[in-house]
This record gives sequence, structure tokens and C-alpha cells, in this order.
Amino acid sequence: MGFVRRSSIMLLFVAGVVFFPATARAILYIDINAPGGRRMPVALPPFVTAAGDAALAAGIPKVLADDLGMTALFEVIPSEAYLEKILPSHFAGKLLSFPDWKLIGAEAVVIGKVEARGDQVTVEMRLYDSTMGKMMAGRRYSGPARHVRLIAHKFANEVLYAFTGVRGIFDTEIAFSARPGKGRDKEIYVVGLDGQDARPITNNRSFNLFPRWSPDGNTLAYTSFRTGVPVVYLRNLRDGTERALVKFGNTKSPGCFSPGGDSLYASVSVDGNSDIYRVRISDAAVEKVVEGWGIEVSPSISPDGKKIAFVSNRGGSPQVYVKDLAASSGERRISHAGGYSTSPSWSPGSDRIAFTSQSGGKFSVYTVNPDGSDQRLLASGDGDSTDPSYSPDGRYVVYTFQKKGYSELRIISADGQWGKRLFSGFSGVGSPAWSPRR
Amino acid sequence: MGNGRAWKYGAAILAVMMVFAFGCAKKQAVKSTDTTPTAGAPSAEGKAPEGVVSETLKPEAGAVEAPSAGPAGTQVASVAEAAAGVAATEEKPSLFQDIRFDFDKSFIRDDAKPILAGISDYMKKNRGAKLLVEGHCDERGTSEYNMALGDRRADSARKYLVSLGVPAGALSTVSFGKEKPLDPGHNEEAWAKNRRAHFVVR
Amino acid sequence: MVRRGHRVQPLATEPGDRLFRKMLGLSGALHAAIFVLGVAWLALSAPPVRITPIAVVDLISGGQFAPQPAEATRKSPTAEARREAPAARTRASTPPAAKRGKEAAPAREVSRQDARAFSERIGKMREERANRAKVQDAVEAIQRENAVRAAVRGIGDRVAHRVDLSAIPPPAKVAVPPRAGGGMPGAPGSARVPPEILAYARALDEKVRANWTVPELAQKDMGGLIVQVRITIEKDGRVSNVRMEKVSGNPYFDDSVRRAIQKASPLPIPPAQLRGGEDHYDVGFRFFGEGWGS
Repeated sequence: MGFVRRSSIMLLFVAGVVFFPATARAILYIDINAPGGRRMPVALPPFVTAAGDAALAAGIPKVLADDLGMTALFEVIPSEAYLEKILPSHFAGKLLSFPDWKLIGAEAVVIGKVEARGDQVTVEMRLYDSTMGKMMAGRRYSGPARHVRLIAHKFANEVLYAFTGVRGIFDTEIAFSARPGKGRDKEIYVVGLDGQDARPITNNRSFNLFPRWSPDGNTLAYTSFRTGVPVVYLRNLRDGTERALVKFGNTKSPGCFSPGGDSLYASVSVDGNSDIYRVRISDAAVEKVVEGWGIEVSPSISPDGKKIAFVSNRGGSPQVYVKDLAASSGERRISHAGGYSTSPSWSPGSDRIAFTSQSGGKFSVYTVNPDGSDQRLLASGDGDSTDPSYSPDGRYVVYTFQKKGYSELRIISADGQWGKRLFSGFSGVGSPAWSPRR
Repeated sequence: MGNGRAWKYGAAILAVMMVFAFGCAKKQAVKSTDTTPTAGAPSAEGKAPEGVVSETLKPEAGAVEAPSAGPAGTQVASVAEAAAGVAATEEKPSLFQDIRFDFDKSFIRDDAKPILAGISDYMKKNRGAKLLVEGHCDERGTSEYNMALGDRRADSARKYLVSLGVPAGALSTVSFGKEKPLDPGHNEEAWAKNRRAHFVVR
Repeated sequence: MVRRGHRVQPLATEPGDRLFRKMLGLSGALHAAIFVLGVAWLALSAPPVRITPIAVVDLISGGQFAPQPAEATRKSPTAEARREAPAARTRASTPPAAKRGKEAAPAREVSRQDARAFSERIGKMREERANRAKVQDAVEAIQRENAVRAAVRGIGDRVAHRVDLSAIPPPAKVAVPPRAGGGMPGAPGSARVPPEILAYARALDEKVRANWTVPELAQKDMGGLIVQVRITIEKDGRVSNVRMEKVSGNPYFDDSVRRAIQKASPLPIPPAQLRGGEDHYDVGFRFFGEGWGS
């Protein structure tokens, strides 16, 4: 063979080899874009319970359903569609019949078992991924029977974490002030996100107002008139002990704790002039942080503790201002929603401040950036929406809704897409404060 | 012959190389991190304790309730104080008319001045008397701001009385914000009545 | 040709040059081998180069697309009994036209016997049906709702999404000349993809996407996440091998992708011509965390 012919044969070999690896791997790749706004279908079958505990167990799936429903991530499949009945054997080695759950479209199934002994209860709950056929989370809680709802809330946190990696806030609580009876007296209450069993923290038949949580969730500061004059008390929620913290001045109300929990910011009126003070918890040492010739009230601190939002009427009407605590001056007005804006609440999660403002004859809840930009309406009804307070993850806001003597607590998601009534049944409901995470 | 053999060597080596390249081509040169279980096959997680974490809740996991009302316990210091606390919520009778204020304002209006003059006369006549000036607001607006506003109204009236010659030591103030409306109505007439200072002789 | 002062000889013909010839041949072979290895290494180490036809198709109207009949996977026993009788008859009447003549007669025989047995069973089932009616109704209501939702989603999706059959862009330097006219991914061009591949890709995309629930707590957190998966579809549609070629780094997002594939299985049956004579069909997906218009 001639040299040229040989070389061309060689080159052909080479070309074939070069092309071969590539063509051997020629497969199709299809691009798929995430569908927005889909909810994961979850099944919450009735819990397994020994006779007599049925009442205790009946409410748990509802607590789970309400909590998961808050997130706009889950939708609960109605129980009439469930094909498989949950039995005690499912907690002792028997597997769920996953095809039955897949058939009705469930991607997650939560099964539970309740055992009560005296005033103690044990609740075991398991979360199954019915698509992959495996258990994603399992918990067995024991505790006093009155905590059964708290147990359900804790497991709702586990379900959320298992699918998103996000820590839930379902076991947090909301403190508020309300009139339990026909008299004018108000007490402080604490209620869970299920709105059931609001527990009284005070019981002195005087005015008890403005509950505020410490960052560790163990202490509530509030104003009480129980000696005839207003005093700010600190109540230890774990052992029930209490001490008076702010006794100077006249009118006084707690605003917020410092992020480290070592101080309380409060508004106190001295000689008719209300200013904002920082009071050290350990020794009640006092330092004035915001002053003015007008009314300065309602402090709310930023998550990093460097700035404070407050209300002042120095401009003629009450408006929300933000001040840098390190600077001696430079208070900037951030509310531009109406003639009367109060009750700032600085979000612990995102960088937003919620407040209430009167416009068009009624109060509504707005949110705004800490520099005053991007003000948006959040909650408005055919009454007054006031006293906003953010959840610890900044995704929800609890507030008071009032209309001609009727009042209730409502929760709305921070994007305004979801809301529900939290609590009603007392009159004069107000000043809600969302606890930190436990 | 020599020619042919040299080329045969070359072709043989090339063929070997080709086989290698061909073989490598079949292998995926990308990271592969997972194989999923076949559809529906569950892992053996059915047993009770395995994978199930135990947690015990303390009794004080939820906030401790208030002890029932009574002298014992840290809440109420004394029976007398308890009575004062309850009394704070009650509307006290007064020898004097209330004075009224404009919405969101605490200045002394002209229609208030005769009333205050009358109080001042009384206090001067009754040297030992003590007077509590209460400040109140109407139901509109938020509680904390109204507490401060009521305080300002009470103090405004107090300062006026002092300017009329009443000794400062005889006067004290307290604000109830919007917690103690005189008129429970929800209209302008009721609100005007509730924006007031109320005077109680001790 | 004879040049002055030179003697042109054919290459290495003298007997004394035999060794030289051998060495030359060997050297040439080794050079070629090294060249081959070098190119092969380049081709292997670069990201997969795909010499597949590249097409980007913007689906503006979904009117042409006939929805696939819903494939029932498993049914509850009572529903199965009710459906088997009519299903047997319809199944018997859908074999390809070419075979219809041959199979029609025996199919009819079989279905008559089956029908008798079924009506007996159905009679028994009717007695129990009262108890199960509520459960069934609820299950069917949910299935209908899901089907409606899937159809509605499908229409909305088709208006706005693209079936992008290109792969990861080839690296800048490649020894392989690109196919004429189709070098860059994403370039709008005439669809070089045979219509049956396109239709099948569309069917796969719709089924997987319809079964994908993204656990987004805030959509903006999911933007930029990409998972690349390669699966093997058996000839009955079952997914038999899922390989995560590129994970997103967010384990919850990755899990949602695994679940989506699992839920979508069995996938539409790969057409025989796509499989090219094999029992299975390999296909890949790229899941993007950022949805269109969200």
C-alpha cells in the first residue's frame, strides 16, 4: 500500500476513535422548571388511643393540620378518603401500606398514638414519606396531659423541618391582655397557636397590661395597677416568682428587652413627660435613651440591638421614628401612612418594621423598611387593626382587630397571603406579644 | 515483508488503544452520588423505638399559671394593696366636674378653666386635702400611646392648678389611658366625654 | 525524478534499512496512539459533549397536544372489580390495527367468559359497596381533583415553558467540530428533533413536573438551584435507575427531586424506535429551582 493510503486509513481509525466516545454518550436532557405554589399533600389519620383517651387524642391531628396549613406548603387530605386504618401494630413493626396512601395522592403521612396515665400522657408520632416509603421523623413525647397541644405543635415543627430544613415556630405562644369578665379589670394571658386554653398569668382583678417577652422566653414584663399605681413587674414563667423592676416616674410601660436579655427598654412618664429609658435587669439601673419635649413611647429594638424604633408626637401627631442607639441624635421618621401611626414592632427575621396607622377613618397594619422606604399595607379590615407583633422567624404577625367594642387576635403571614383568627371570647383583647422560640 | 510487519505492529497497537478509548467512552465520567430504592420498597424502619426519639416535657414547659387570688404567694403583697388594685379599676365619685380635652391634645381649654378655678378654691379652703388627678383618653388609638397622653393631660391639669396657687404636694397624678372610659359608647359624643381629667379628693 | 546532486529513493527500500523501517513504523504507530489517547482524554475529561440535535421549542399554544390518558397504577379491590369488565373489552379492542383481525375473535370469546365471572363478583361486591361507598367517593373525588389540577396545570405550563433538549454547553475548546448549524445550546433554530422524540420528551416533562412538589418556604431561596439526574426507563415505563449526576447542595431540594421522579413512575412508555432495540431508555433531566413566572 502506498504511504498516502496507509496514512489515510490511519486517520480514519483515529477519527472513528475520536468521534466514538462522544457519540456513545449522546442522551437527551430535559429541563424542568419548578412549579410555583404547589402544596405537598399530607394525610393526618386519626390517632390510635386506648379507650378513654379518645378526647385527648381527637384534637391532635387538627392542631397539626392548622399548623401545617399556616405555612402554605402543605394541604391536608380529608380523612374520608383514607383507605388504611392506623392500628397499634403500626407502632410495633407493621409497615404502612404505602400504595394506599400514594393512591390518594398523599406524599406525607403522620400517624400517632396516645397513652394517658393519670395526669401524664405519652404521645408517639411518626412522619412517613409515602413516595419513598420511609419514616422521616419519629418522636415519643411524655409529659403532663395539659401539654398535649404543645406536644402536637412540637411535632409540627419536626414535619416542617423534615421537608424544608426550616425550624418552625409552632410551639411558640402569644401573650396578651384581656378583660375576662364584665368588670373593667384586665389580666395577662398566654395562649398557643391553636388559640385554645388561654392561661392567665395574673389574677389580681386590676389593670394588667402590655406583656413583653424576654429573649429566652422565660420572663414576661408587664405593667400592673395592682397596688393602685402602675409598676412594671418581671414574672418568671418557670417558677411563678415575680419582682418589681420599674417603680420610678408615673405612667410606665415595658417596650422590649435588649437582645441579650440584660435590660428592659420602657417608656416612663416623669413630670408629665414620657421618654424611653433602658433599665438594667440585675440592679434596676436606669439610663435615658430617647427623650423629647413631646410623648416618646413604645420602643422596639432591632435584632442586632443597635437601633430602636419608637413613637413620638414631636411633629404634632404620633409617628414612628428610628434612632441609632450609639448616636446622640439623628432620629428619622419612617411612618408615612396617615396622620396617626404607633405601635412599631421590629421583625426578628427580616428587616421590616410593622406598625399601625390611621387612614380613612380606621387603623390598619403596615410594614416598612427601617429606613422608611417601601411602605406596604399588611392587614386591614372593616374595623381597627392595631398592635402588630412579629413571630420569631419574621414570617407572621399577630395583631388586634377591634370593631365597636368587639375585639379579637388575628394572625397574618408576613406576605399577607394567609391569615386566621387566633383568639376571641374575651373583651378588651389587645397588646399581643409573640414569644421567642423555646 | 518487513514493511507489512511494521504496519501490522502499528495497527495492532492502534487497535489496542481504540479498545481502551471505546471502553472508556462507555464509562460515565461524571460524579454519580445516588441510587434510589426501587419504587415503593420501604426501608426497615417499622420497629418502634428505632428512629423514634424520646422527649420528656417538664411541667413548666408551658408558662406557669397564676396562683389563685389570695394573700398568700408572691403576687399580692397585702390585702390593702389588693383592694387598692381592684379600686383602681373603679370609677370614683368626684366633687368636681371633669375637664375635657381635644383629640390627641393635652392643653387646657377655656371651658376647663372655671372648673379648675373652683378646684383651686376648694383646695385652698381645705388645706389638708389631697387631690388625685386622673388622665383619660377615648378608645381610639393605641393603648401605650394613650397611657402617655392621659399622663400628659393629668399633668397639664396639675400644673395649671399649681399655677393657681394650689400646693404641689397636695396633688398627685395617674393615667388610665383608655382603660376607664366614662361613656362606653362608640361615637363622637362618648369620645368627647372620655377625653378628660377626673379629680378625686383623697 | 532525478535532481542534480540528489538521489530520490523510495522510502527505505534497501535491505539495510529494515530495522529503520520497523522503527519508523513503530514510531508512527506510537505517535498515532498518543494522539488518539490525547484526544480521548480530552473528550473524556471535558463535561459530556453531546452531539445530539439541539433544539429549543417555544410552545405558544397547547392546542395541538392531545393529553395522554391517565394510567391507573393500582386500584383498590372494589374499584378494580368494577372496572375490569369494561376495561377488558376496551383492551381487547385497542391492539394495533395490523393484528386486529387475528385477535378479535379469541378476544371476544375471552371477554364473554370474563364478563360472566365478573358479573358474579360484581353482585357480591354490590353488597359490600354500601360500606365502602363513602371511601370510594372521596378517593375518586381526590383523583378527579388531581387530574383536573394536572390538566389545568398542564395548560398553563405549556403556554409558558420550554422543552430544551440541549445539554450543558460544550467547553470552549473541543477537538470535535460541531454539527453544522447547531453548535450552541439555546439557539433558536428549526427543530431537528424528530417529532416522536419531541412528543415523548414533552410527555416525560409534563408527568414529572406534575408530580414535583418543591418545598419552597421562600421561593427566592430556591433560585439558582439545579439538580441533574439521569434515569433509566424500562420498556414498561418503570424507572429502574436514578443517578444524581449533579446535586444542588440543598438536601431538601434534592429530596424533592427524588420524590418527583418516584411519584411520576411509571413514566410514559418509551417508544420502540427511541429505545433502538434495547429494553430500556436512558434519559436525563435538569431540575431548576426557579420557576417560570413565580
